[in-house]
Amino acid sequence: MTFPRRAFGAVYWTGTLALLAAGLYLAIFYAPTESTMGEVQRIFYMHMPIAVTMFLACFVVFFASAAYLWQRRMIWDDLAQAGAEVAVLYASIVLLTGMIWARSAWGYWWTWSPRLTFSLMLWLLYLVYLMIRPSIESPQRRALVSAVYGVVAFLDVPLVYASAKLLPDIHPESIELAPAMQRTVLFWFLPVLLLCMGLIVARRRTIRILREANEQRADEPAIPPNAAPTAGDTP
Amino acid sequence: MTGANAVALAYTIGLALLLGYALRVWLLQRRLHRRIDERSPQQR
Repeated sequence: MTFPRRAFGAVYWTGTLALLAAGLYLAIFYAPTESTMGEVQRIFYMHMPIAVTMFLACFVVFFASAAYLWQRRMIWDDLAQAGAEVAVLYASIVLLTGMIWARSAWGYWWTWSPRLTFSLMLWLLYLVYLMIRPSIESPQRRALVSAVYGVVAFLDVPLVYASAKLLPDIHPESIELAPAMQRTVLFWFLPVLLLCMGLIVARRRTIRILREANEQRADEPAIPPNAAPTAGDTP
Repeated sequence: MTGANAVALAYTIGLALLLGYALRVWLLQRRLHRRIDERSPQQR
């Protein structure tokens, strides 16, 4: 890795962690306590930006999958895999924080409301995406199957977004926020977006390095064609 | 579960998952770059 890239990486990740710490401070100490739900509403500052950014990670998978189907270049497959990993990570956090909030606000961990059901489906879709990849041996075939799957899986994203608007749902469609609450939730988008982009870029790089090493290994012949005969070889 | 406990649990789980995955990617990247740096110029 070159020095400028290393320095940029150090600044990027230090800044992101600092913003995350500042966001935590704002969520716990700066934002006022909500009058109806009380303290538990503070989960919203992490839950909502991560849910929105999860859609971005899903879009990265969709875009990279479509680009692979168009160009058949493996760099798009690397990007799609990195995006899917981050989408599963963010979806897991959305589901877990939502469940904790639901237990405290509604009295139960889970209910089969449209938005919750489609969100669970989204998590499962991208989890399955990551699970089927290692089961396909040929890199080209794996990339092709994953790309088709990545395009189809994205169809669930508009369903998650629109379900609370179009169908009767216990999950709130939107909530009124005081100015200090609005500032806190907007601030949280910064570290969450930076983390999402940084993780996708960094993970894509490691996937590419590993893929190129595997390709290099596969290209190497088992016995070099100009190898000198050894003592055990028959003339 | 009280509101404060729920908030603490949610932020702990959320941050642990985020930072845990970031650490995993960073360690993997560091190991791969170290392996590349260790190669001789002929092998690169």
